[in-house]
Amino acid sequence: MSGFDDGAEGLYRRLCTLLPPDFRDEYADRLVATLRRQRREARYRGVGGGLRFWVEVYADLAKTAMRLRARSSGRSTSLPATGDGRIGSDGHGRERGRRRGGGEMMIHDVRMALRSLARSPGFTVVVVLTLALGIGANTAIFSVVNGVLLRPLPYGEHDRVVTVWSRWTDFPKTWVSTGEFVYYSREAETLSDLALWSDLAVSFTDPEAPERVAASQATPNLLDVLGVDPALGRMYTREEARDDAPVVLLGHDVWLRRFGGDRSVVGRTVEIDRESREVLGVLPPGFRMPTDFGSSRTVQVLAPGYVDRESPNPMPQGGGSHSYYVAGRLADGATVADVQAELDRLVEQLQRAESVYPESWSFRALAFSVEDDIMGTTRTALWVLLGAVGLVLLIAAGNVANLYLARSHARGREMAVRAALGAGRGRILRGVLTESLLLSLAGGALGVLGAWWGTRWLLALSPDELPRIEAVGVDATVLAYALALSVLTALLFGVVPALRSASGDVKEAMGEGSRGGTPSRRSNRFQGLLVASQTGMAVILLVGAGLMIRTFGGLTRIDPGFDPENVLTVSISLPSNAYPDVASATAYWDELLAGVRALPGVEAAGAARVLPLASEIGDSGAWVEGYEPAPREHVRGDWQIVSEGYLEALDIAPVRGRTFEPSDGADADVFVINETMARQYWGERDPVGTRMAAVGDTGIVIGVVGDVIHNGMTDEIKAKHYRLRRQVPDAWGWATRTASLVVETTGDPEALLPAVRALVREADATVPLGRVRTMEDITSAALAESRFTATLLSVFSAVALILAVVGIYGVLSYAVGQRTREIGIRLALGAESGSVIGMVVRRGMVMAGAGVGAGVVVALSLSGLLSGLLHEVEPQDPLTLTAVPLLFLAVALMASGLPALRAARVDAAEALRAE
Amino acid sequence: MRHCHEDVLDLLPLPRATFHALVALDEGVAHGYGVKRRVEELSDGLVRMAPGTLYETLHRMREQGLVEEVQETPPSEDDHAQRSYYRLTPFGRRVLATEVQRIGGMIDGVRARLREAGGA
Repeated sequence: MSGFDDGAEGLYRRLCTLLPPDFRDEYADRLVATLRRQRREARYRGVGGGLRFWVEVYADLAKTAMRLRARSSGRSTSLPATGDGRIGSDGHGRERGRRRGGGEMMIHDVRMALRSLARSPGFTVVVVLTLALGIGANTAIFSVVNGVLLRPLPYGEHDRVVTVWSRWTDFPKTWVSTGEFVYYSREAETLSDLALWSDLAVSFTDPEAPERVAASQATPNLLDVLGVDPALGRMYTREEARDDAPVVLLGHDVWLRRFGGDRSVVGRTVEIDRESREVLGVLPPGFRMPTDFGSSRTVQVLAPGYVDRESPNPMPQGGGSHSYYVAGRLADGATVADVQAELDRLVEQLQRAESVYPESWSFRALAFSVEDDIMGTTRTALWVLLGAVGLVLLIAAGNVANLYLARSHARGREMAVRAALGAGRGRILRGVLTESLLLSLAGGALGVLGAWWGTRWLLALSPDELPRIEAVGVDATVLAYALALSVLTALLFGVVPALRSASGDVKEAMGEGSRGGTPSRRSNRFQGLLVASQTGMAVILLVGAGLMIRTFGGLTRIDPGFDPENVLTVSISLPSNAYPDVASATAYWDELLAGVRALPGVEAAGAARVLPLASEIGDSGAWVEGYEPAPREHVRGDWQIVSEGYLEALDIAPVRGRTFEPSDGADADVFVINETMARQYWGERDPVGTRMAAVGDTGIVIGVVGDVIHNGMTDEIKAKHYRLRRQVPDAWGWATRTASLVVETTGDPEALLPAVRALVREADATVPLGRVRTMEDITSAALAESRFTATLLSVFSAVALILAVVGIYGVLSYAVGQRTREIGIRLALGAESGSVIGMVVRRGMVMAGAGVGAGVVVALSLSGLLSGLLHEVEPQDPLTLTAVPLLFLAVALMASGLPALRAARVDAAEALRAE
Repeated sequence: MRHCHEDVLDLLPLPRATFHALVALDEGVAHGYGVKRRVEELSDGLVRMAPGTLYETLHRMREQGLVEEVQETPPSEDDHAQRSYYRLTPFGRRVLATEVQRIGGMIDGVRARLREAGGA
């Protein structure tokens, strides 16, 4: 069975709840078993056959459920099971004359409605498809919103968990130092407890299956602060953390993968980075660190970290090394705003007493609720998309309402006759509503199937970094949403025509019929209003899509400063006990790089500590010869460690001097800096040949290279310096063990992977291969969120445009059809065909123009919602706000033109004779 | 369960699905899907039953005493998965026979009339 069938079958099982409980308990399994066998029948082969199959079985289930429920309400035991009548009977002999009960009445209504819909199959199909489109698109987007935003985070009382960050010039949101952590822990009263951790990666180093996994080193109170209990075993104690005991907790995935979910793993030892560690427990399924959500990373090893909070040292200048994450739990009665206010006060006190931070930093501590922190702009993007797709549904419902109005004019006489024959208002109202409900439910069912597909497509399109993407799917909540939406939509498009039918004045309606059913002015106005509002909504969507497309276009035109084409990257981390110093790490990398460069098809190869757009880079202090920093100003630059070949592999060219060469040996330390650093600290001077210091050494600047975007496509480029790995002092040796191999190839970079993998195994079999990506994957991922929003908004607005135009066209053609006689008289009285065309086009353009005008006004006030998602485009972008109305009016002109031409071709004599 | 002649007449005319299911089960014991397949064969594909209608019909026929459920697998069945099979009860066979007689009588009458009309 295909995945689609699995989904449809799951839906069928859920829908079995429609059956009466006792019947369901007894037969649900048999229904599904029979359904599976029937699915294999030859006539359901192929896509068309599959669709027909599911339509048949869903319809059958619905009918059965209604019959059984009607029967179990005890009114009638004689309803035929198939509704097909009995052999040799008149079909309804026994029912006639009996007073109808509720269930039977419902069945009667449904049967009447089905019959009436079957009489106009074109209408039915168009309406169902329109609604399926609207409801399906809404359900798909809602399933993403439901998975990502609405499901609670995997923490106990997650609304009481906050994250704490630092902020200063150049760093809008960055790490916290241990000194700050101790200070906040001791002083903050709005937080009952704070935990600290840092991210790392460790390797399971048993030679059979070396594997690199994400790890965190955290204070022992972490799980308490997050409100999480281990699934198995226990968390390490404060004493174990203080004594650096060799213990770990395993992530749920790695426990299943490497230990087959064996519960006796607790107490066993595992080899991690070539050290034996005792497994204390297993983290619960779905657990992630608060900082893991925005990435594909999920912590698989939790190891003890310790900060002594009892005997605080005085805080160093600048606060110390900002390299830790901090989360806290709100004290009773405190809010996130209280925490923020208290942290502001604490930082101010610290500044007054010890002036730890330079004034120019404008240092601040920031507190976020963990939910805000994780969702960030994703939340805005998703709500915007849900709003957009809601507008699409409104427009679709508008079209259906218009079709309905047209049909109810046509059926005006039928209704009037029925009313004259004694059918009550309620009865007629119920009939029309039953019809719209049936149409809407059919559209909803089809839409859910579509959404099931659509969700898959959305997931393929969505950014990897979309938090909690794994929680997205069509579940009970999504189904309930689709059902509620269907009912709501039915009311939306069904009520007005229903009221109109029910209030139908017999005389007026019969009279209308004799005059050819010209719709009243009131309903004309209503239709016009409907079309104008549809147009307005479509314009709002188009403006939103236009802004996002301009943003996305702008982002793709940003020059990252390197050439991502044909570049393979592989991240590799060396265990510290096997590679304790810079020399041993360098030897490893030299051997590996020599092997890679010898491979056929390799143009250049190198390695870097952190790859641009793949992982964040931070800065460190520096000294620049001849530069006088202002008082309290710190000279800083992002620090990159590379091997020769890295800058060449990414085509980061020198604008002055040269890049690294093999001859840059141990005799003199050398630096390469970027253009921003040269401008910032050397100004007009030539940096090449001058001295600077960073990462523990003083050396000579040998070259200046072009700027490279690093932390984000739209982040400001900061000063950066590059150092050769082999020149890094041992105190910074930890930074030389983890790096990404960067290989520029002549052909498809991924074709090189097997050879690279073999070389890595050859160099050291216990060192696992980390993440493998091409540089193009990395740059594309950096644009993913913006591409996601832009693509979806474009699709929605295209659909909206089409629906609105179909609406305009539909109303005008219908009006022309209805007014054939009037137009004929006008032409017979000597009206020019041009004036007839003008009359029709004018009506279309008035509707469209009113809608466009209102739409632009509303779009102007709403587009501010998008501002967080835009880049270098103003929410009131004049280009978008001119192009969209023009496009719309042009399309509306075409949509009005066709019916207008038809009106002009009306044959006057024939139109008059037809009466 | 004892049934008298009145009970039989009370059920006639039989709904189409019930009639076909009775005919299908007259050939021997079958599970739900088997009944569906035989009904389709017997009616040349004209009568089709999707799962809901099928089990609703069988459920009601059981309530009416026309069929009973058996748990053993008939020897003809190659698929030995555990499932329920349906068998015609003596009452069910009587109902089927009476219905066939009734329809037969009706059809004979119609045929005779058509023949006369054709001959005239």
